Amino acid sequence: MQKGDSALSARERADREYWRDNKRLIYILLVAWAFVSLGCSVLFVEWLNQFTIGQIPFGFWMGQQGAIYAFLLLILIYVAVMKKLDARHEARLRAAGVANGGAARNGGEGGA
Amino acid sequence: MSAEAWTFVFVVLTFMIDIGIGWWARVKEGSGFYVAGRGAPAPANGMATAADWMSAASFISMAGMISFMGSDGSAYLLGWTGGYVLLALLLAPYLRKFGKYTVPDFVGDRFYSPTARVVAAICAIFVSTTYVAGQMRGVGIVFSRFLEVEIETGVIIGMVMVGFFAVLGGMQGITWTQVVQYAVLIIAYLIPAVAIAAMITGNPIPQVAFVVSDAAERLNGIHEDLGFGAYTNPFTSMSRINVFCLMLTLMVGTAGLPHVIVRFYTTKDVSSARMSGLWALFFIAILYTTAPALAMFARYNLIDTLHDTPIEDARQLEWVNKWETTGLLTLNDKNADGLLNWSPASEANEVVVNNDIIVLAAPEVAKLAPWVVALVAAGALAAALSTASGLLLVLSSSIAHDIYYRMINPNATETRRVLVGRVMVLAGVVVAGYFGIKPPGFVAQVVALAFGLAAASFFPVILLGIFNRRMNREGAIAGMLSGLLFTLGYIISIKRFEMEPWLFGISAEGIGAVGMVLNFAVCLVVSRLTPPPPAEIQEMVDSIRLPEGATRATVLDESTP
Repeated sequence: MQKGDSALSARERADREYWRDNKRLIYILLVAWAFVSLGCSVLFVEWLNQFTIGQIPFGFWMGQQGAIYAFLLLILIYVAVMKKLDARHEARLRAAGVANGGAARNGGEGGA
Repeated sequence: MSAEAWTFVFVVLTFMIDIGIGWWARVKEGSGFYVAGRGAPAPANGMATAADWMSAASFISMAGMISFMGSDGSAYLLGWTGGYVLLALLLAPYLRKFGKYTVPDFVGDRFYSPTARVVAAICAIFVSTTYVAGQMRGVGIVFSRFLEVEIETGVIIGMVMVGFFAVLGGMQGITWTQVVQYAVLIIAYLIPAVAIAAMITGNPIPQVAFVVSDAAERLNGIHEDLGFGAYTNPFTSMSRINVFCLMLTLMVGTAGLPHVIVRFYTTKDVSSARMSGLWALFFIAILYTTAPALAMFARYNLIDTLHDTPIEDARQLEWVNKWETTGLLTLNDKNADGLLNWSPASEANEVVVNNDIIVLAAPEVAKLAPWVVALVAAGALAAALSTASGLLLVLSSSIAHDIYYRMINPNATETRRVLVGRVMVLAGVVVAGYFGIKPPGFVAQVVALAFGLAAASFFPVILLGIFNRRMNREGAIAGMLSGLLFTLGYIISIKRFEMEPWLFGISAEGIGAVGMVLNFAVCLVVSRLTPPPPAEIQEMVDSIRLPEGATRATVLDESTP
């Protein structure tokens, strides 16, 4: 049941935007995740192997080292951006006068 | 002091520390028994997750496996690390916000169905039992080699150790014990790796030496001379589609393993659940980026030392002599020319090296002091024991919490549930020990099964439970069952009935990826053809998507009848 934008409370709008931003971030990071792992070290590893890093083929390095570093970087980006999104979401809730919304919402969850 | 005496000292020392922690953290409440009272800081939780995750297989066998597979070893390296990206982004924060004890809890509540809970609990029990049996076997092998006892005796010593502090401490005890075990295992792994890197390349940092030294070039040269494919060339040991499917199955399977997921229930709040994922992968990556370097240097060193060497000279080397008696290294001068011949053709090959030897023999090959040899043994034990205790806890919680409390006796008191949990840990130890002593021929095959099943059953259902509000009971049950049955059927048809891989040549190890896709598809189609979930479930989904308020969602408030 989608409500029209005008019928949404400030709280619902903030929640909805938070979730939309979160999903967008996840999509981007997951594409990068698949690219560095399944892409670079399986699908086009031979092509990458024509380049070298240090004294070893680049595709080989991606599969044995590089992708693991990339995974770490991806989670780091996720943690950092989500921290920002969390803070912005909280500020919007406070501005809308529902600072205690989390606790109230949570009380309802107990019965779920 | 001999390596055996040092091993004894290290093992006793580690055990004492473990007991001390178990005593200090002994718990009375159910929340602490299953999920550490939500008090563990993110780095500690990350370290414990890393110790939990890195089993005897990671510690002992992985470098050896990569060393034999060359470039294709990336399927394991990335498969066992990439899953943490999925966990941190897609599952951990939301499951933490949901805030219950176990994975079947989430499945049962989200899909408002006792049937779904039971299916999930059975999957969790199956996956954990498979795994823990392998750990016990690993413990037995390490003890038998380094304490010079029978493998059976080794397994029994391991059973006593695991049982003792898992029963005593529950999750709280396990978290801090695992932090110590992580420290032991990572130091034990790094010392020989650094020594070998320095010996072969002159550069002591394995990750750097791997890139800047000419070791890869030298190894490729030797490989080509002997008739192997170049070490750095892809798809020499597996086809492209198999590397792809295996990597994907292991990644998704990692994210779906209950003993890994439950770790993220231990954190303080949603934001620390995300941080814990980062820390866990960081601590895992230290070992996982060292392993391929160790694999390459050790292979170079082994071939360089043994190929074209007179067999009598090779036997003069102490480590060759020692490992030959254990049967993990076989020298056989088939053409009787007095020289060892290393060859890809099995009828001409005169050196057979077991995967496990790459790590276990590393300190001796690099001529390190006996106490380092002992430290590696202690590290392998720490890896096996920490994984075993985490698995036993999942096993006991699946039975005591998901089946006993939720299905059989909902009026059970906290004390009684913890008691049932402890009894189940003991039962789990005995079952695992039995399989450790009498391993069924299919141990290695069932590990593939564990990942495939986790990938094909849990992951899609949990993911859709969070990201798809419309996902309902019918879809989830149909999806889990179809993923499970397809994967199980495919693996059994190949492993048991020895059929050729009949689906695009995909091996049994990689079929979980296909099962996962099937699960997703069935979930989505069936859920759209059946009624949507009740309004309160949809509200619950909305609520777990938002981070705030999670600190208040304590387990005790909700579970106390």
